[in-house]
Amino acid sequence: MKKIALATTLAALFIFSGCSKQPNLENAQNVEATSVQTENTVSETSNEGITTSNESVSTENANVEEQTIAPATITVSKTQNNQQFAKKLASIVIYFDFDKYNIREDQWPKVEKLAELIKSNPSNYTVRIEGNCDEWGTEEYNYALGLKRANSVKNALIKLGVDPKKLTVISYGELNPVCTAHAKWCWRLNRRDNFTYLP
Amino acid sequence: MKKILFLFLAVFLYAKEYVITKYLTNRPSISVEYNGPKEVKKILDMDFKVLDHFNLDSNSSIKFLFSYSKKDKTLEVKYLKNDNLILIKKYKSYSYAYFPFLVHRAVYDINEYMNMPSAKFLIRKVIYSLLVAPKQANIYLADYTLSYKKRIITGGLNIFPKWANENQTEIYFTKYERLPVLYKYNLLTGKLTKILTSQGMLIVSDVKKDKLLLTLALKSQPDVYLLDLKTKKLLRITNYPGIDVNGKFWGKKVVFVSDRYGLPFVFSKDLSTGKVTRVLYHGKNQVGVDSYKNYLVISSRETDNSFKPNTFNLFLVNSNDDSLKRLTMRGQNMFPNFSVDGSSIMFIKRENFFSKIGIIRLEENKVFYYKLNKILQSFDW
Repeated sequence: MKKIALATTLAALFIFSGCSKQPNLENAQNVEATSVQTENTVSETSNEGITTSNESVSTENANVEEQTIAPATITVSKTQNNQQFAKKLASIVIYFDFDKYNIREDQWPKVEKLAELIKSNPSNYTVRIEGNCDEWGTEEYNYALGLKRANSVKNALIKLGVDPKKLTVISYGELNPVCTAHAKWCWRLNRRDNFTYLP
Repeated sequence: MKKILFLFLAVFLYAKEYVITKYLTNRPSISVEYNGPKEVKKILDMDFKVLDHFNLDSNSSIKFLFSYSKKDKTLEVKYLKNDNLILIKKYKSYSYAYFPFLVHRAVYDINEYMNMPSAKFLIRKVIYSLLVAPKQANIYLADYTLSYKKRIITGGLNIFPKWANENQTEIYFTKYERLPVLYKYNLLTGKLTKILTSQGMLIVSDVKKDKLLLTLALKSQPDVYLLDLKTKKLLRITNYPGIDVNGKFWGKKVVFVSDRYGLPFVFSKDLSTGKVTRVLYHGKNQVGVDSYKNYLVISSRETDNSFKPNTFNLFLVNSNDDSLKRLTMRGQNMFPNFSVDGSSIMFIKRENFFSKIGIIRLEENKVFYYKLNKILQSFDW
């Protein structure tokens, strides 16, 4: 009896596996165990993803694609005059205390210098104030903290007479570090506002 | 409400642990045999370990014979009872790299076959963003062990990916262009749809069918908004002039993180009455929260060091009986994320220079960790 059952099993296996049309992964469920069956389950096709998609596997959780984080690059305009202005803007960096977004007393001279610099250039452009955070906390709160840091300087600049239309804010959270060491001095450098010229 | 929470906290502090989950007492014995490449075996072993539903006993009358053929990229599982063949299942993929998903599906099917509690976390795909250089973050698709990896979105900053639908074919994510832009992306067709743009910040915090909870800064001020994709209506949920972020649907309420008390804590807002209440009176701050039905998991900082590693622990809050349970005891446990069936919580544990992925199995009352060689920007599963 067992032999007959096994023979039936193998025959069924042969027929089923031969006829299967590669259904989706989702089709793998609801298989009744009443008789011997085979089932071909096919993964999603490789068109899952954008044209640059790249598939890999590593059971060690090894990260082969991660790169060493290089110092931040600063966007500058193409024309030379503006390039100089952009460089001056980029040279100003305002730092913040841990978990704070108010402007420190020692940072105020830089804010004033920044206000004068923007006011001295009446041409049509936007300054993007970029709030940044250290690596402590990569959740949404950190991005909001970066945004509040950008807003603090924006509001200060408006009070110092800068046209609000010239200012826009963005938060990079912890995504734009200038320093990647796990050290106190390094985290301090990342809690900052940068200023980018947008033509 | 406050008093009740205090009371439960007190109970918890003195009793050390207030257990509200059920233990799985009678775990069936099964025998698992495997033939094939070692790395496939590694995933198989991990699945049964994390699943924690079976006693693996080589003498058991219920046998599952796994074999993987690298050449055919096929995993075959034979179901045997008293050495009689009951069922054969075959799982095939187009690429070898996809084998972790085949193993997860096979183990998931065995779990279903044995009528054990659902373990959907095994077959859920994980989507995550990873910083590869300053201002450059890619989005990847992975299995729950993060062994499989596929780059999905590249070029510039692509952050905060969230699954857009139940069957995990579409995602939402934020791309930093001149302004942050919210996109919907179909993984099967490659179709990219622009949803919204905002200055400052724009993040999808939670998805419930056609409704999205967003953190937006339309006027430079981060607040929680509700976007109805059907009616295209955008409703502002919070309006405190400080930080309000990370909105999550929680029954008829929305929970969010706010610094309205000076430091970030989790609050809830009743959408019908508009009443705002603090949820958990514990810890120095709370920046991570996720919800599932009546449950909340909150990451709470319990120490107060500016620069030394702080202790962040996870707490489970049940709104039905106002109970509270500590889920982790030490270390930095952050980014809690419920599985789709609410049975598990995935989170990141940071240990100085390293990170681990933790999976809390709530019913089984266990936590499993595995190595993570990178710091994820954010993830969803």
